[in-house]
Amino acid sequence: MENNFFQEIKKIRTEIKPRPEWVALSRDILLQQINPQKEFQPVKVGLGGYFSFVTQLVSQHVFEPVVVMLLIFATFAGSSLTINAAFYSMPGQPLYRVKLALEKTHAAMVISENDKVELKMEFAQKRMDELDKIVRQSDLTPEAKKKQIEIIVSEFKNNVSAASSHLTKLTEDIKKSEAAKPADSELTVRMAMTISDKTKDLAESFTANVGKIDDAEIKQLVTEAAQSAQATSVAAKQIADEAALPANEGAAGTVEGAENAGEAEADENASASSTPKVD
Amino acid sequence: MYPKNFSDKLLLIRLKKKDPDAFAAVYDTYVTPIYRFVYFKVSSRQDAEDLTSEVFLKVWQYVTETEETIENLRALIYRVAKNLVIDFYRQRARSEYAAGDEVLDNVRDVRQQSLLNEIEAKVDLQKMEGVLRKLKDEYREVIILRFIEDLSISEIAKILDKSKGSVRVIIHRALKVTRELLNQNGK
Repeated sequence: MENNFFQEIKKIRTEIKPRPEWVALSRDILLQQINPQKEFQPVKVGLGGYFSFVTQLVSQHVFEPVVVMLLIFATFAGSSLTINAAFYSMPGQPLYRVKLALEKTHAAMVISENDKVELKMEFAQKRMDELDKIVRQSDLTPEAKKKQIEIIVSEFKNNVSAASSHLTKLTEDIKKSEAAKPADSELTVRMAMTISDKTKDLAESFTANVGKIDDAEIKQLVTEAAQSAQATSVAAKQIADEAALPANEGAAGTVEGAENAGEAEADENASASSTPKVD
Repeated sequence: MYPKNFSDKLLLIRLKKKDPDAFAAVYDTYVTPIYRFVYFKVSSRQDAEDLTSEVFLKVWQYVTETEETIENLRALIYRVAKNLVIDFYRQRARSEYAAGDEVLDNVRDVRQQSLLNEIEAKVDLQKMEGVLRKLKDEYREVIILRFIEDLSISEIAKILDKSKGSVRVIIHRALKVTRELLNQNGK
C-alpha cells in the first residue's frame, strides 16, 4: 500500500506538466525581457569569477575532495576560454578555416539535439556578423569582397541547413515513436521556434545588407542567403505549430474541473513579499 | 547531490554577470518543477503559467541586483515562487480562499496508526490531485517537495525557512491528513 501511494504521487510528476508551447514561448519572452538588446552572447566567467567561486566553496566545504575536482575544472575551462578568445578571424584570414573546424568540433561534442540547434543558430549569427563587417569594409576590392561573402553565405546555408536537419530528424523520430512523450513535443516546439525566430531575424538582417551592396553578383548571393533563411523560418514555424497542437489539446484536459482549495497561508502571511530572504 | 549544487553555483556566478544563457539554463532546469509547485497552489493553469514566468523574472532581478551571497539557487527559486503565490492571493478577495483550514478541521486525528498503510491502494491520479488541492498549503508544499520533486529534508527546510525537525513533523502530519482525505474520498 505504501508503494502504491508513492507510485500514485509520482504519477503527478509525469502527468502534471506545463504546456510545451507555453514553456517555449515563455522562455523566449523572458529572454527578451532580461536581454532587450538581443545580445545573446555568453558571458565568459573570468579568473576572478572562478576565484570567488572556489573561495566560497572552500569556505563551505573545506577539505572535501570535490574542491580539487572543481579546481581542475576551473583550470580546464580557463584554458578553453583562452583558446576561444583567440579566434575572431574573418574569411580570407589563415585562422578562419581553423575557426570553422573548431565550430564543427564544438557541435560534434554537443549531445543534446536542442543544444546542437542553438549552436548552429549561434554560428549562423556569427556568419551574419562577419557579413556585416565585410560589407562595411571599404578597403577591400570587389573581387576579394565577393570571395569572402561567398564563403560566408555558403557556411551560413550549411549552418541553417544543419539546424533544420536536426529538427526534421527529431520530428521524424517522434512520428515513428509509438508513444511520444510531452517532453518530446516540447523539445520540438522549442527547437522549431528557436530556428524560426532566429532565421527570421537573420533573413531581415541579410535583406538589410542587400541595400548596402552595389555589386550585382554579391547582391544576388546575399539575397539567396536571405531567401534561404526566410524559407527555413516559415518551415520551422509550421513544424512548431503542428507540434504544439496535440500537446495543447492533451494538456487542457488535465486542468478542467480542478478545484481550488484554501490558501490559508495567504491570509496568515499578509506581510509576505515576493522578494526572498537570502539563504 | 554535489554535481547539482556545483552546477547551480556556476549558474549563479553567470547569472550575477547577467548571462542570458545561464538564465535560459536555469529556466530549462526549473520551469517544470516550479510550474507544478505553483499549479497546486492556484486555481487555474493560466495563473500557474503567469506566476511561473514571474518567478523566473523575479529570480533574475534578485540575483543580478542583490549584494548578498546566495548559497542555494534551488531554494531561492522555490522561495520566490512561494512568496509570489502568497502575494497573488493577498491581492484577491480573502473570502474566496478561506476553506483550507475548514477542511483540516473535518479530518479526525487518528493516532498511533501506521500512516501510509492506511492509504488506500486504489487511489488514482485524479483523486490524488484532488486531495493535494484540499490540503493546507503547508502540507501540500511538503508533499510536493518531498515526494514529487524528491527534495531532501535539508533543502525543504531552506525553502520553508524552518528547521529540519519541523519539516519532519510537518511531513508526518501532512501524510496523516492525506491518508484521512483519501479515506474520505474513497467512501
